[in-house]
Amino acid sequence: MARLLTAKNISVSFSTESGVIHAVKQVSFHLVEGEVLGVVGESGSGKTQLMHSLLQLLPENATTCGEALFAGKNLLSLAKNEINGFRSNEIAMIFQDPMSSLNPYLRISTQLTEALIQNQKINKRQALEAAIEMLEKMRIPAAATRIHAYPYQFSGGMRQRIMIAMALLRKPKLLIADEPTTALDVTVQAEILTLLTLLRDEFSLSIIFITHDMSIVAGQCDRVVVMYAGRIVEQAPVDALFYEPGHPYTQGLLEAAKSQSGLTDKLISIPGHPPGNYERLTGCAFYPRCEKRLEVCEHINPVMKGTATRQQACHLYD
Amino acid sequence: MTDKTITIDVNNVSVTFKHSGSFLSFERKKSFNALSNVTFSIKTGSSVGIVGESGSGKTTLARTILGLIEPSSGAVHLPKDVRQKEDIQFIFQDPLAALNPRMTVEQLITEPLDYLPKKSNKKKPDAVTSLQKLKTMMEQVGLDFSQRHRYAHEFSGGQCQRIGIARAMITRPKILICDEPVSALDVSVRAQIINLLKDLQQQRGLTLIFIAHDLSLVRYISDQLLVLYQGKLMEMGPCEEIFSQPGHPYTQALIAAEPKPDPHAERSRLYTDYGESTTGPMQHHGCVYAGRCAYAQAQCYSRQPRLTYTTGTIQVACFFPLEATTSV
Amino acid sequence: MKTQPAIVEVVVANDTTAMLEARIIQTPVRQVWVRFKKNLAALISMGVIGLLVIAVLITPVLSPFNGEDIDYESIASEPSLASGHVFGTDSLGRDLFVRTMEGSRISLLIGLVATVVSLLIGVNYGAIAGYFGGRVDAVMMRLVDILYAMPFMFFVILLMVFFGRNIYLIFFAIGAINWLDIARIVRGQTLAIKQQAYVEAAQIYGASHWKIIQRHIVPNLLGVVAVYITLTIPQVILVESFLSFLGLGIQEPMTSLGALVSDGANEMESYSWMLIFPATFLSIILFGFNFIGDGLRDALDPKQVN
Repeated sequence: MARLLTAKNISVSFSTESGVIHAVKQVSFHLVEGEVLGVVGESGSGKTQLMHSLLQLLPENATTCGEALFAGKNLLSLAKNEINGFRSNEIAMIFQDPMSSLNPYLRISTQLTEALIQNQKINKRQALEAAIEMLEKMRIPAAATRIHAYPYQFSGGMRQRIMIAMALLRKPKLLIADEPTTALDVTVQAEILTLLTLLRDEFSLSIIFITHDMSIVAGQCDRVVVMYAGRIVEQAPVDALFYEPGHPYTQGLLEAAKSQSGLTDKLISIPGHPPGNYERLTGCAFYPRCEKRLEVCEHINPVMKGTATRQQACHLYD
Repeated sequence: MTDKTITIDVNNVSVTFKHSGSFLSFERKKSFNALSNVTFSIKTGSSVGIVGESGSGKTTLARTILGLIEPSSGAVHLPKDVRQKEDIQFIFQDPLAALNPRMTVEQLITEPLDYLPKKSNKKKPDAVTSLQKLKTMMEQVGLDFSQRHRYAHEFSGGQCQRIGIARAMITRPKILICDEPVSALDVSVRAQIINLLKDLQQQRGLTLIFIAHDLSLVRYISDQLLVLYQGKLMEMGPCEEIFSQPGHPYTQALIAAEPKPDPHAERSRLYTDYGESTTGPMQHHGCVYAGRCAYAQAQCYSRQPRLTYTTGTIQVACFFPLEATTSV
Repeated sequence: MKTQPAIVEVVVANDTTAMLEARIIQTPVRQVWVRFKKNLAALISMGVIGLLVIAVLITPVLSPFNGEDIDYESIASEPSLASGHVFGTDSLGRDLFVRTMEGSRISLLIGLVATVVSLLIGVNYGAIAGYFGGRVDAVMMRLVDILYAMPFMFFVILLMVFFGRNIYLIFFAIGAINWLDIARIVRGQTLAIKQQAYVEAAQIYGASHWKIIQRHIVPNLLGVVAVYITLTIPQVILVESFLSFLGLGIQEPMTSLGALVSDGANEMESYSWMLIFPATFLSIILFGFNFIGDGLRDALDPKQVN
């Protein structure tokens, strides 16, 4: 299948009064049409900044380098009006907090129809019908009446569904989901994840799923990218990653996740904590916490090596 | 076990919040039942997990035990040697928000010592003793004593939580309530904090009340489990037993809804439509869970079930509790 | 709250790892200063006001002239380096430079003291109203609303008329009126701070209400209060100037910039320098504090990265 998105050597840094933060360092990955790519990382991994850079959603003190090819264009170098065309139309994004996309003072009907009318030549009635139909696809009960309500009148799970509806209204090719279920109750999360699986087939979506939760990745994703301290440390198909993890960080993360889901006797963690924003690192960023470290790891940063389908950045595999 | 076991008794506690509008305004008073007729006992020295999703009332329950909220009816009875606000301490969900940004670590952790003389006959320790206690405490929670002059925002989430734990433990409380202490932390770090809490509990014979919004970590730290839904107790009993054989459909739903880091298992998981939780007041006078329950029948909409023993140790509030054949 | 200097320290990090890192210890005050420095107008204003304060303090020592001495030879004379009167003299023959410096001194003093008075009243009032909330808050704030409605100038003029033009009375009167603004601002901030988890934490480990206000609420208000101070000082100076203009301000032989401007305005057509110099100084002070206040406000508003 064709590649929908190819990212090459993307770096993002922020200049702050306390110094420069290198949030993303030389990240390359790709997305094949129709697949769900999971991007896993903890705090400081840079996963959110990486995704925001694709749609130029970063604040002004951010500097981005590299290339992100989508439909033949480099997203990172597009002008303001061009990138606006991509947002929502070709690439849509949903966030952890639905209220970040919903205006609390406008009715849902207004917000959904506005999005439709802006670019297409349809009248209000047609837009409303299309919006109601989309809400029904999101399994929102009594969509035709509830569409006229305000965001605060819906529960968190419902608002998330509305946000997904808004994102899919213009039939984008790519959906970027940034921790969409982190703020939801576990039972609601299960419903939203199942919904996403159904929608993926119905709308022929390709999805980039950003999360810190390995368990969600296991159920949702075809391929996984693991990030640590601004770099990708492992890329693999989901089964290979979970049943034969390569990088020690992935192994540690999996052990921790399994133990927290009750699959082990003891609770497991990785000693230490992810590096902070301003720490200067030589060598592999995971070195201080790694059980399998070698002497070379302290001084030289490993590069991604492997096969066409899976790679990891670790000296153990050199 | 004698009858003289010391317990914390929560007796038929209900907490109703009245939205009274502001003073000097003419808004009608609306009310909201955060907790309804909750009754249970906690043995001192034991570890209890309270699990509930949003709207379950678990945070209100914690604050009622702490004494920050007065129950609208019913009461919380503490053992004789435990005073509210003195021997009970609290760990917050957001580690950084719980620390005053303008205070150093040293000031943060030793602050509770300043309030000792007022509350009880304990004397406020002098500067040398305070510093000693600080050192001991910081070492015990895994913090570097030389970092005591730093500010909270310079530490990671896990370290901030350690600061919070040190602060809570420095006055040697008897009861520790933890409100989702690791939800805001990285996955690779959560176990460190949980294990720390467990160690502290065992070393000091603490009564540990652990509040969580899902079942994942509870089994490692709690002996007893309470499941709350919309302010009511749904199920109560020994943790391991409930996990292997949940009695209440809601507990079963919680267990089933949780994803596992196992692709094969996840792909073959069956989708169950739990229905959306209602946000407004209930339309009927039956079981609060009836609207979402897969097994609800007519009776469930007209009367509220009481907590009854299904096995010798587990209590379930359900007319049709699950049996071994129907559990996951 | 002590200001600690920035120290570059090599520290051994935490937990179970040993990782060396060089860091600059960032205290809250230092962070604000770093941001403040970026605002050029504010930084320059700080310098200018600083210079002014120094000039005001050393003039009595260095200048050959006195604010009260009458130079009979140069009554109402133009500024000239030859005569030594760099700003000229006023209609009574007093050196205008010295008078202007003295006027600046008095104006700044009034600005400062009146602001401190309003601060002491306003911060306590607002913090109490905000912290205790409920009826206490409602009653206290309604009182503020009522006082707001009263005609301030009228009130001050009455005070001046009844009790005479005493400088201490002016301090107090202006300060006692200005506290309304800061009370409202502090109350709003207190409401926000009250919601923070660390305030609840303090309540749980048994801190009394007063200790909480003192340790947790007020220190986190200081940012807002600092901005208020720098923006109120010019306001107060202007009010005093207005009073002087009306003839109700400082009594002779003490003078303020407002009084000097008032006198200068009378002689404006023939002896323009008598107006220009004090007016310029007044403007510099007002602009300066306003820029500093703006700079502080921006510096205290943390723009979060990430």
